[in-house]
Amino acid sequence: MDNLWNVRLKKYQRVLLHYSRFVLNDHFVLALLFFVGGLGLGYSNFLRSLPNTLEWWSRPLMVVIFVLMLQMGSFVSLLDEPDTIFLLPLENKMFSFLKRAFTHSFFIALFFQSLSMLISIPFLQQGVHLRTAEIWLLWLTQLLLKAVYLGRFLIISYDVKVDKWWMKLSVEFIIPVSVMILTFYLSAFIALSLTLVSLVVMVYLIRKAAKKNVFRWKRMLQIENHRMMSLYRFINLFTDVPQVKGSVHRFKLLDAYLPKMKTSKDVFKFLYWRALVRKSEYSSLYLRLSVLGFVVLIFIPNIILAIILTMLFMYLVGFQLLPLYNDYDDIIFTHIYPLKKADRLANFRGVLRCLLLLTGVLLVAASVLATHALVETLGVAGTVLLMIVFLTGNFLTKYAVKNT
Amino acid sequence: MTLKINGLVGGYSQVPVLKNISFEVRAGEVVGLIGLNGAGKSTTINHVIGLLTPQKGSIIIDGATLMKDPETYKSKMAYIPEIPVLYQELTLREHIDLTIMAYGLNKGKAWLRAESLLKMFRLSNKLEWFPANFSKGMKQKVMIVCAFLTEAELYVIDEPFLGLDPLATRDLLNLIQSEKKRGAAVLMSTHVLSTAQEHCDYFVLLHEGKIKTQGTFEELRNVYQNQQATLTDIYLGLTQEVTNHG
Repeated sequence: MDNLWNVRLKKYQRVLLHYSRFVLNDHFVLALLFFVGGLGLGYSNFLRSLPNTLEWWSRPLMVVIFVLMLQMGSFVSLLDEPDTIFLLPLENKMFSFLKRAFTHSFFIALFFQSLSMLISIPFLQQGVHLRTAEIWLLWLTQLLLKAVYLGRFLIISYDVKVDKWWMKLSVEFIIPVSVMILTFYLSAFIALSLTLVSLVVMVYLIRKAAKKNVFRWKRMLQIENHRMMSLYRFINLFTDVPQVKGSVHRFKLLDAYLPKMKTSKDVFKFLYWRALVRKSEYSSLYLRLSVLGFVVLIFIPNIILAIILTMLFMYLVGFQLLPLYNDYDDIIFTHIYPLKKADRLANFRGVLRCLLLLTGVLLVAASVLATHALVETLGVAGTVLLMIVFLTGNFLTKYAVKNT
Repeated sequence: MTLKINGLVGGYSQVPVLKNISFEVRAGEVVGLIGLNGAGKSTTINHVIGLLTPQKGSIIIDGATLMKDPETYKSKMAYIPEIPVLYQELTLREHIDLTIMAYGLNKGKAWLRAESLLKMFRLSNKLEWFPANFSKGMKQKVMIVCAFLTEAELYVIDEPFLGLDPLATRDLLNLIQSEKKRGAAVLMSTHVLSTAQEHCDYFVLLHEGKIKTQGTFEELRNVYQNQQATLTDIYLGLTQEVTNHG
């Protein structure tokens, strides 16, 4: 089992290394450096501006931040789909595999928790006036909380009864919040002792669960797949990951607004709207960009910058939605139905225009909220219209010709 | 309605898989396309449905070719693939709606027909589900319902029996028979030779991209010179003969 874990880990690290080349490309690293530099500068300025007395918000802020920090890093089991068949005979040895998984996950968490601890130390000293010993205790507490957090995965890999929302809520939220409140308001030592107790209880529960139950292959695979998918989805922002397919949700309430069946002219309109609403890869992309554009524009009083950003966001939304045009190429029936080729492009143009218009309305609303003058808001609206004409005109036709 | 395949040479790359294939499928006739794995059955079907372009030869449905009049050509044909292909984000009801739209069918009539087909294949209570999550057999049933809904003139069916339960197999065969009586033509590829022997009117035996022999069952028996032979005997005999000689 140790051997298997090592092989798995090597393979996993190779995958991460492979993709890290794409994620940590020159542009991104440069942008990140600037971002971190700016943040660091802001942080040090902020620390200097702190008064000598305790602010009312500093302790609640730390409780929130430490509980949020705790959520970083999940349980890495590196299980793979075929394991349910090939590892089935090794069922009774899975616990030692899981222990390796736990150790690995914990060491990764140790690194990230300590790093964030290191970053918060200046504020802990100057904002919350913690003594060095208390900071050490806090660090230990946080690590033990993370161990409890990861331990929950060991229990649920055997016991179906505790795989419930209340268990997740208590381990990931209620216990950490209580412990952190104790740390900051009462005594770091008591908080540490309480965490130790919950860890002991956790270890006891894990041993009991592993003895009495069989390994829950499907559930653990589901958890691991979920984790890998969020990782892949992040990487997918930088480069194409074949595993990212997105999920499908019905959103029944929206069914009433989807186009109904009409003539064969509207087949692609019927399909495109459903793909947009139900396939997360498109809906989340569109919503994220549109909302981001809206929020950003609210805080841009400078009209020139606002117009440039309007152009940028309209272009991003339009450009990122273009792959939807080819979404149905893999489905044989799209080629077999007796349809006119021109209808597909016309349908797609209509859909894209409608979506861009919605984004445009949001951006113009943001411009109003940013208290631009009327002329300036009209300028933003004009930019929106120009971008729609540009993106759904010749630009789209060329794209369609190139991609059919 | 006639599907005419004339001197078809084709395949996925420059090297042709199919070498000079010619046969016809006429109205009211079920033609069985028989052959080993890799004999060229699916390639032939992919040419007929228009996913591949012939390198030589022609495929004509009632005078319409895919090059000259793709819409007429496609509107006469319904297809059931070997591996079910479904839209991930459409419910069963929407699959049926889409088929009705795409073929320009009369909505009321087509839905009546769809309902009886859904009932036959025990899918009536699954209209609001996503068929992409169904089992293989149930997905295949959705394919069957959507294809037979169109009342096409030509059905192209690739290995229809894999994964179907006995009840559904029987119902599918009944459906094929009733469509044949209505005057539809059916081109069906299969390995299930006993079923083919009973239900096909005409056989095209493919081997290594060539037609080994074709004809009615009687004609095949004559070629094989054994009046008691089953389709399995003939098929195995002919392919082994080829393998031995080759």
